[in-house]
Amino acid sequence: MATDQAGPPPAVLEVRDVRVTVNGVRALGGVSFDVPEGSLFGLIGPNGAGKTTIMNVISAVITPQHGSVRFRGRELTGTSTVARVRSGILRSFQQVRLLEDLTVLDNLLLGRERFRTVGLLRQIGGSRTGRRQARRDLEAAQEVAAVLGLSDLLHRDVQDLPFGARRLVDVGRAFAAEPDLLLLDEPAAGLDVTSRRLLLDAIKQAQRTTGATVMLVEHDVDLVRRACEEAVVLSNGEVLARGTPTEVLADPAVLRAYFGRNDA
Amino acid sequence: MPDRRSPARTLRPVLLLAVLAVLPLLLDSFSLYQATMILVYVTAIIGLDIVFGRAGVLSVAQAVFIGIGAYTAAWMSRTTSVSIGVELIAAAVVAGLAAILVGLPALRVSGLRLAILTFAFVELFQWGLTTFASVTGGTQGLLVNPGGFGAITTADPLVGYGLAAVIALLATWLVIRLQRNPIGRAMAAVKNSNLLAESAGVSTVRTKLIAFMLSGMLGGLAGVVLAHVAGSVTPAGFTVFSSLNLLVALILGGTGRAHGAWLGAAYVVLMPELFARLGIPNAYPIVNGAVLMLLLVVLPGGIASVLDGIRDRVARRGAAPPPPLTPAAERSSS
Ligand SMILES: Nc1ncnc2c1ncn2[C@@H]1O[C@H](COP(=O)(O)OP(=O)(O)OP(=O)(O)O)[C@@H](O)[C@H]1O
Ligand SMILES: [Mg+2]
Repeated sequence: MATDQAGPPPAVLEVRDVRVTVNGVRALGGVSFDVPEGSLFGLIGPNGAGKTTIMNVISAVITPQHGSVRFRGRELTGTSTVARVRSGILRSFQQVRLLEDLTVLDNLLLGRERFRTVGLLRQIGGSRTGRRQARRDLEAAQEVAAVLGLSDLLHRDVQDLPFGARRLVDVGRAFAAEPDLLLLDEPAAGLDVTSRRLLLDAIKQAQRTTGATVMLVEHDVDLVRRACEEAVVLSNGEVLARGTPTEVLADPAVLRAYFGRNDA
Repeated sequence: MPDRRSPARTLRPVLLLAVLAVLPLLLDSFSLYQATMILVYVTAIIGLDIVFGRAGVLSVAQAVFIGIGAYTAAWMSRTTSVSIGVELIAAAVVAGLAAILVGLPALRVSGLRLAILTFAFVELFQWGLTTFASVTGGTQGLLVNPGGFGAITTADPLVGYGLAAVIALLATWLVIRLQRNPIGRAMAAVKNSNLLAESAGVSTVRTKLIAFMLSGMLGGLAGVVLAHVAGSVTPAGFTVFSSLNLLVALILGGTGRAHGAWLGAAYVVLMPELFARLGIPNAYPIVNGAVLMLLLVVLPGGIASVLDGIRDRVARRGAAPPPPLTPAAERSSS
């Protein structure tokens, strides 16, 4: 693999001709795109476009009928969700999923699970490696909390938190895992305009400090324009356009699909 | 930021130890027997709490693991002269392995279907006990010879009590350790959903099997003490009803909380006795069922959640006001 000629930054993720049919309904009909390394990458499209489905494919929650996904040049097809998480592909869900009875800190620490190497007995009994790992985990969680503005809430039960903070914890868990590639499925859904903007700023900040590549689903095109370096537009299970947000949002096909129906 | 480790928290184990140490001096022999049974139940219920309360897997097989422990102890006490320590280790190993076996279906099915599968294991165990009568004594069961360490044997009720107390404390320590431990978090994630667990890199297979193994081992340990304290073992002690009784105790006491198991254990041992004293022993199962249903509706967190609520309210009084509940997103900009 000799790539010494100057060109676009290498793709951390290559999606090729992915086709998915769920219960006889075509959800994705041959989707291909590249996600450049270190970018904040927007994934946009109207409801039912297939955004969640493509994230499910990348995180091995569903198996596509056809196509391939490569991560850092390595074929992912056939590997499990846990294996992909351990290799650095993390995700959040459209609906917030948290450990409800536990604290913010516990939820952030859950993200550290992918680094777990210590065996059962040593974990329960306590061991030097376990303690060292626990210390590192705690530092990582505190760092993420600081970036996302959760430091004061670390010991609060997540079920007592307002919705916006719960969204942050959800995202924070994924960042605590020091992801190489992070898939965020509408992290700002359900928040008001101001909170959305602040959440996206926080995500951008966390992305910069960790150097992660972040793929973001977001309906607010203005936010995407502000935050993302690149974007791909899906509609009806197909790629309508890719490029910079400004480019794709000026694309006539996108305007038709996006605003023609949705901008009532 | 207030320290989470309040003085009351550090004091609690000391207080518990003191109570457990003084109790035998105050109790008559029957009450001591009951106290011992409570401690045995504590261990068994904590085992169930690990698999059901923490990992969220509904299992009615807990009686099997207690039974395996009890029969292991009975058989070893009759055929060998090893110390009760060896019996405990053997029971924990055998019951732990059996639990892994019972847990295997949990990797493919869940919920009610899994509960039914664990029920099948109870029936299989019952069938084994009655079929291999030459080893198990069939429906008659086996008498258990006193066990112990040299001259100190369970023929002395105090020894049984002490043993039950040590094991119950060990189980409590274990489950408290789990709480703030990666394994405990992994279990909480599995309980929430396989999707959350796996998306965080938690192996659901490994986590569920660990939960089953720990619950089996604790059940086995409880069984050894039970066998020696009761002096005999019969298949009737380890039916699906015994499991359901433990489940009721756990839910009443409160799942996912160390003291829930203690409350639940006290309830299942003392309530039948209370009704017997009142001269209406037959009312116990009915009241028991009604109380369970009522609690599930009004108080899904069990009795322990009420105590926690009171504690939190007391703790909050005089403490600094909680941080304002503005969306945290707004602070991130400052
Ligand atoms: N479990 C399912 N059963 C049937 N159809 C499904 C299922 N999941 C997805 N689909 C279909 O697949 C298509 C893509 O769905 P997907 O959830 O990926 O869209 P989306 O872009 O995430 O939409 P939204 O913005 O509403 O989240 C839709 O047409 C949907 O109807
Ligand atoms: Mg979606």
